[in-house]
Amino acid sequence: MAKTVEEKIAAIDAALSFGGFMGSELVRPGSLENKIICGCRTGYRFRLNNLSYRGVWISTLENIRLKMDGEEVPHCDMSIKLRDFACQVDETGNNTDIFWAAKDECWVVVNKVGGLKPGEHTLEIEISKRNDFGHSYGEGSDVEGYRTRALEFQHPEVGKQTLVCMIEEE
Amino acid sequence: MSRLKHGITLYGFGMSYVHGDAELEDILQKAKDIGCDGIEIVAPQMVPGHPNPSDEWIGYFRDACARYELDPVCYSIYVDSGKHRGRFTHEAERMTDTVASMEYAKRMGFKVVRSQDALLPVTMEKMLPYAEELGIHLAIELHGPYCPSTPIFQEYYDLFERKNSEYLGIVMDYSAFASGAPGNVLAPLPDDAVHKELLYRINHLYATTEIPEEELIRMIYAEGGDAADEYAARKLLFSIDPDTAKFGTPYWRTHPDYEGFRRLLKYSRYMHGKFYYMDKDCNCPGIDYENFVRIMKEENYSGYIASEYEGFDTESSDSEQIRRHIAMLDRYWDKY
Repeated sequence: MAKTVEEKIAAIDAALSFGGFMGSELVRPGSLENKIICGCRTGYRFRLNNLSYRGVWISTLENIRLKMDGEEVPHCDMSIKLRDFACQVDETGNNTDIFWAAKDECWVVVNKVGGLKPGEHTLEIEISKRNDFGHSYGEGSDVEGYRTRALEFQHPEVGKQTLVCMIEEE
Repeated sequence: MSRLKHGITLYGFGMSYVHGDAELEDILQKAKDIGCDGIEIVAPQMVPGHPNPSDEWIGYFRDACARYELDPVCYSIYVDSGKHRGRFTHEAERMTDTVASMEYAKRMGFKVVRSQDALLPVTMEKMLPYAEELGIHLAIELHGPYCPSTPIFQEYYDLFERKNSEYLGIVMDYSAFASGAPGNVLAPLPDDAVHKELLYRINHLYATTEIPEEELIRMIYAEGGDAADEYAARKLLFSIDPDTAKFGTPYWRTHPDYEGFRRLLKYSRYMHGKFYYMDKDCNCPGIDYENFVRIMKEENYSGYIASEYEGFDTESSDSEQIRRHIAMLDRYWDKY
């Protein structure tokens, strides 16, 4: 069925999130898997696509919201894992020296005893992110004469994706 | 007859790299195969360990450049003003980061460090002694949405005139001189969201005529388009206000700033020949390369021009697009 005008405009906005770099593909396809430790299921995880052509500072992630099968995942159960670094999603802003390079694997890890059951799951994710860099003058707020706007840093961009993922039978 | 010095920015292979389809060695091989006088690397993108690469990697990179007979010319860095929540980076942080990057660039063999306009003119001036000590040409990129007449770039020009140093300058990016939106600007949009063929025709008219925007909108509706097409045209095809643009570019239609380009050439050792698509006949729609290359020739430009591919054409490879761009540049250079 053809899209309505409203649906088309929503599709345009989704495709242009994060400068159109990733389109609406925030999550790496096929990456959802249970976290199995010595045969024990302690949760699940999935891999994020990098949000920039050049890598990003973890501290620019303002928020990550996740719904699994329609149920909101509390932030206290969610963390980020990148190389040998890990932190709660609420703490990304405080880690200003962690660079998520273009080829680094970055995972969202969710604590959930028993993990996800085999079969289809609907994952809804929303990521808010400030720009790492920009072209406005407000960056020089401590330099005389440059106390101006820097809109790109004050209004985080929001990317959303909904996808159906499969957890295979073990 | 003088020859135009060609650079290749490895950024042009960035999509292949980021998506895991190519490693740095593959990309260096491609650059070698295409043939160029020098290369540029975007440090955060392709330097592992950025912003503090290891001695081991620096040694590897120097060896690789020697092995592929590639001359490292431009080390591209950023001013990441947004990394702290609630505040911008301080000037001291921007200076420290820039000095460190210039040191790494020096150790890797680069001659030019390209930074951004967030390294304000007053801060850039403070960098001059470090640039002189390291023998590095520190340059600010002039990228859309800005142009030579944008106030801050007039300040840079004043600084260059006042210092008249070979160690301070500008990297002009052709995005600042584009007549219209890139020829592939609608590619990220779903096919069922807009009438792409219609909008590309509107884009061509926008870049090559001065038909008012509202008249072009009427044409969209007259030819079967709808409000989603109008939304896309206003967001992507028509000129973007530099005050609110993020990375968008104001498009200059039939009047790009040729004289501003000419004025800044004196302080340019390296520039970005930005392009989004090259057709089979080696023409670049949307950017008037012929007249800009003519100006470069008239002004005896002796620096590099890097072919910077920022497209995702599905019918030809990134290497082929860059080859076509180099062929176009040489054609115009030889013509004048």
